[in-house]
Amino acid sequence: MTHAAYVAAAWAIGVVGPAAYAVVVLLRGRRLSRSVPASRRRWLTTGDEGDDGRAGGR
Amino acid sequence: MRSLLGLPARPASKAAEAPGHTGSRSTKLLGLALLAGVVALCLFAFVFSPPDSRTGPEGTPIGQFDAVRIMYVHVPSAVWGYVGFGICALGSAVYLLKRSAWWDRLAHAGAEIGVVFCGISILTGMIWGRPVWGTWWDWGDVRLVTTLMLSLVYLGYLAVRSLAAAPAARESRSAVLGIVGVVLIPIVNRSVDWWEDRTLHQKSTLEELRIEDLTLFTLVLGFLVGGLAFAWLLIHRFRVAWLDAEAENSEMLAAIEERRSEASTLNGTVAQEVAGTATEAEGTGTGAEGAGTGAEGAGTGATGATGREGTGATGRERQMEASRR
Repeated sequence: MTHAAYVAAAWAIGVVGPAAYAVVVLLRGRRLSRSVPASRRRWLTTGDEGDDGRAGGR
Repeated sequence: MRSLLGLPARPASKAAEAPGHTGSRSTKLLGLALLAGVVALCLFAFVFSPPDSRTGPEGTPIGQFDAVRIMYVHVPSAVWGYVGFGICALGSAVYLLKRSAWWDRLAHAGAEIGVVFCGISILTGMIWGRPVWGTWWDWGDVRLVTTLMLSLVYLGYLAVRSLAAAPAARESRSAVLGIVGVVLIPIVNRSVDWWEDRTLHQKSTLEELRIEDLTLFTLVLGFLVGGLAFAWLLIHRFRVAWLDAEAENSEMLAAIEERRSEASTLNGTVAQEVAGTATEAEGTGTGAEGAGTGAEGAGTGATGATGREGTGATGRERQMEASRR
């Protein structure tokens, strides 16, 4: 393979970058979930409720 | 959704069972599809698709060779970055019209993911440019510079969002920036046509690279996988933005409640002392004066404390004077 180092570096950034960002978002969500009452986390509901992440107005 | 449909609130027991994360059934399915898509993309990008190699006019092989495999990451990340900024602009515009928190959170999520994808696009583009163009970066290339400007504008948007200000003011200011920034997207896109002699970029990746068959399929697969990643991140980031605002509201409400309870405790103490002072003052025959001092003390916290001390001392002095008589 030609330019193997360049290809490897670009793919590492392209895959690891979003993956790392996803981990940060998930961890932040977990931390914040502890400080917000469950009733205000509207997507975490039973099947009869929408699962679209809508938060509604303030 | 219940509130939107006018249904009664969710039972407390079910609410208490809710797990402490931003995932849901739909995001789990989306995540599984994304993982499968990444595996498939890796297989097509590294195993099935051929390197870009053509025969030049003199019979020598030309092309990007294996560097073309970077395109499967670079091009989709650029496009999905633009989509993120577009979502930010749309959310900002609707927020300014409706003042809806939902659209504001969506705009925030779109901007942040757009910056991540655009940053990946810039970095992978630089890595691709080194073997193919012979340079990491060229300040004379309008597409490179305008893409960097676009990223910086939305980094500014995120900076405005993190400023310490009243939420409504912060949201309005960032919404204006979110709309202004999106003007750069058509400039970035058309820059290779408007300034042909000032860019190293090809006009159209699909036309210039003459990609076909498996190479084209792999690029399309890259777009799909990028879209799945974008959707998954957008949903989670939106929920985090919502939680963030809720946590901020909860903290503010808790602080207000704390102040209220402090004030009520203070008022109760002051009222008892005022009542005691009035009784003592009645005994000395100067009740009106003592009660007046106590009431002034109850007006504000610091003054109240001073007022109470003053009233207490005056009451004791008068009591001693009365006993002496």
